[in-house]
Amino acid sequence: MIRDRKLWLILAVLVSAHLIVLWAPFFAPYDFASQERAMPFAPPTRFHFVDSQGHLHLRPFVYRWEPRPETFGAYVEDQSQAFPLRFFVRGTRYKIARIFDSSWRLFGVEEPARIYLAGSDDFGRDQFSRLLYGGQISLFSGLMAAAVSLALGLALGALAGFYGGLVDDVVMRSAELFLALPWLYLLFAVRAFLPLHIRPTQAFLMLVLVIGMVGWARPARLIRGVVLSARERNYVLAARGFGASDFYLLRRHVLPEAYGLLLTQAALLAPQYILAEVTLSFLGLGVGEPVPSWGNMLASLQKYYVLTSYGWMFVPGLALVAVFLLYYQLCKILQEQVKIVRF
Amino acid sequence: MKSRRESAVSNMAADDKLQTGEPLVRVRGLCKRYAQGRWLTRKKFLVEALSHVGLSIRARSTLAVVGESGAGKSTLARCLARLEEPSSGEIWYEGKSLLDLSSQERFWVRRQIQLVFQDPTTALDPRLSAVEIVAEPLVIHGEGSKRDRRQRALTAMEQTGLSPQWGDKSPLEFSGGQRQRLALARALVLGPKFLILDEALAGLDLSMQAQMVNLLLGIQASQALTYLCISHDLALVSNIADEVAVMRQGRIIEWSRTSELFNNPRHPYTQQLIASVPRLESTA
Amino acid sequence: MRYFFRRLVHTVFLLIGVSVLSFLFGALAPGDYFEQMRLNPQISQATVAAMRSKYGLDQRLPIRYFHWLRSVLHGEFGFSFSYDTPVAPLLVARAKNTLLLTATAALLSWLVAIPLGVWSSSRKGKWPDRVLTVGTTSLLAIPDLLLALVLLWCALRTGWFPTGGLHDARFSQLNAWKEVEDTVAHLFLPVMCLVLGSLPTLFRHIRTALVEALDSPFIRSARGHGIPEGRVLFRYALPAAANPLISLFGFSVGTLLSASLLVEVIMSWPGIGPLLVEAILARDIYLVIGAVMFSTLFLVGGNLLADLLLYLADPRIRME
Repeated sequence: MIRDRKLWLILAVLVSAHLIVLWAPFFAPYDFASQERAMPFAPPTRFHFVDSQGHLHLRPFVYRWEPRPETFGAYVEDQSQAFPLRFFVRGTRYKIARIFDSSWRLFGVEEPARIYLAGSDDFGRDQFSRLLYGGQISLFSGLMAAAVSLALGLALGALAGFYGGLVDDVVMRSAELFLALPWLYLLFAVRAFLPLHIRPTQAFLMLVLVIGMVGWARPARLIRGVVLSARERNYVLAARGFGASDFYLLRRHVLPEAYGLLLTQAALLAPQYILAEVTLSFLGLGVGEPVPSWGNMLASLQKYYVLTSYGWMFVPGLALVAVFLLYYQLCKILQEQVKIVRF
Repeated sequence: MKSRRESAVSNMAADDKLQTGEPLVRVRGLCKRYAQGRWLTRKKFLVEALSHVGLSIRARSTLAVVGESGAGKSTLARCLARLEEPSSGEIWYEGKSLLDLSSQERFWVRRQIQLVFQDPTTALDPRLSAVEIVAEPLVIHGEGSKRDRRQRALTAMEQTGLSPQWGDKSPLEFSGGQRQRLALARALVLGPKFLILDEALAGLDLSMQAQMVNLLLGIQASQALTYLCISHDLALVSNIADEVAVMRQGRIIEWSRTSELFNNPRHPYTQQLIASVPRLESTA
Repeated sequence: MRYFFRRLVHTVFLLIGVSVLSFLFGALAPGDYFEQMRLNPQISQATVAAMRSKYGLDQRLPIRYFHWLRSVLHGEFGFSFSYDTPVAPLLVARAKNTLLLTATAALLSWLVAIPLGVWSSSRKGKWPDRVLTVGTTSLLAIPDLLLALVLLWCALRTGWFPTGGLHDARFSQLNAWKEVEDTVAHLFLPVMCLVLGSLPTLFRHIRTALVEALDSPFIRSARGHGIPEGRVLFRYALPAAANPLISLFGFSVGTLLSASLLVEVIMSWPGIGPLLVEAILARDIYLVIGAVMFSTLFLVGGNLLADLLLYLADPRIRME
């Protein structure tokens, strides 16, 4: 019972996170490409309730960051004008999935102040907004790549386990080949043989396909095992005795054994694949500028001056850790549940 | 000494549609070989599970095949039920060869010949409810609407002594004997003519066995069934079979009517088997 | 011994299969090393074509594979366009560094994980166990990428460790002892990153294997005989748990290699990793294939080693 509640809680948080990044334009005060060259590496905006005259405001407000003269990346608050935080403001127009058109944003401040919840990067782009937009790429490429891997693994593993013989040998030897390489090397090798510079829209699809297709082998082996043991069950034999077709047997009796496995594998693979996308983008082999992904957002940390001075650039990393914690908890709970069902 | 079976037969009504002279099932020279070893070195070991087996079973009669484990009884059952392909030989059912049939004919034959397994627990899919299990053959053969199938399944359950109220229960909620009845109901739902019972009574205790024997005899009479009963239990066989065949190492070494076999065993192996049975049941 | 011969043959087939796979991927690749040259107006098309045919890039795939195979047998592993030398010497030099890094990290992580796992399993449920379990689970959620960056940050802030490379600029001038010291100083950060990354999984598996072993009757009887707990843990329980742990070792080699790729790139460790990334960006395909083959070699080598250890450790396998 307790497990069940925990499971739904974690699922709820994960699903909300995915929905929020899907609706990134609404939750983000700025577009991911909107630059503010005058404010490179601005620290996160501070919220105040008491102004310079000592008056208390119920609505929090912010000051504009004023670049310190003759410096780069150093700022002081311009206390001359207070900009209150507003909710449900109108910002630049956007489209979600090319159908949903709007310009409402959850929160914002009036120009010329900028609200940087997580600071800005060297082009003055709001990191918080980019985090949300980047989440679209990172979170969903992981999830979709996991779906691709599992679909491939299910098909091939079921075929190998059910029909045995030559089919089994071919599939298993191929799986062995794919597993013979360290997975990151395999991923890079496959990526190496694709065009280097891909348009961002194509890049997402390419990433999903490459990461997904590279990882089919382990799920396939697991599913093959399940199918092999399920195939020999007497009730399968009995159904065959009634004249059931192979397809019917698979659908009705054999594959349902694998559903629990598929769920746990999905929870296991998704975070790995998110990390794969992040790694590729980090090294410039994934999604490129100006489209953000948590990977290419972290790439600027490779420059030592960014690493030591501008700590807020680590925010995508924190988001990654949070997502992984959720997924690992989910995994653990699912594994326990599946074990129970199997008595 | 008349077996209980023979008494039942002589009490049966004489209007038979099927010619009791013509065998329903005939087997000739059946061989089954398994190759063991890796596929590059295939011809390493050859196991002869069946070696030139020949049988015939008359309609509405019961043939028992006995022997110890590994004698090839189950292999024979599976070949007859067309779950396995024999390496060579002939199988005839109602005058037609079972081994070269079109896929449509094969599908039709599946309705006629059914197999009941030894362990009912593994033979029933625990994910389905009882009525779904019994109705499955109907689903596979695409018969009737959902409601018709459910009705027929419940009827079959009633025939085997299970209450139709238990239709929606999981098979795990049934006892061993009840599960075997469920398996039997499933085997009967398509109205087969030939039933193969592969050690179907082995996992049950003696009182359950007696009940099942009575059930089987009753159904055989009411539905004009032919049985092939595979067992290692001679005492059980004496109650249910018209004829008995003894198998050893893939061969049939003796085959005669039940009373004759028990009174006059010819082969030394048969004599050994009979001698090892603690007590044979005698009818008044 | 026949067992190992069979495994060796199997490995060779595997390597051939991997090379074919890599070559097949290469066939699907649009463009090649000379693609950029084509875009340069100062170089004529004829020159580009001539360079292509010089390196055999215009021939059909099976022929190229055959040439490459011959090159492998000569010990060259193909030719690198960007470095203008055969691939093998480049890779061997880098491979040594990668081996140094991964072997050290593997050794260290097992040396730390085993005592921790043993200790935790013996105190199952009590607070040391809980703290360690929660701690390692949290550590598991931190990707190697982030760990490397954080460690770099620490190094930059404190100045205690060099932040990249293998040797100091004045390496050749140092005496033998200073050489070792210098290498160790440079090794510290990457190794720490790899160890922290692999520790959680190792710890968890060791703990599970030991908990299972500790549950068995012969342990209870050993305790009943009054054998001190330390001996019970290390001389009785641990060997019983050795079987799954050795398999784990074989498996962890692969993950360690993948992790080291990234760590090498971020910390500028001159191993196979950065070379591979470079080769990808330059589309130097023979270098890419060579790097991939080397990493595969390490992986199957690690697995063979694990098989050997299993053979030596478990008498049941010897009897088969």
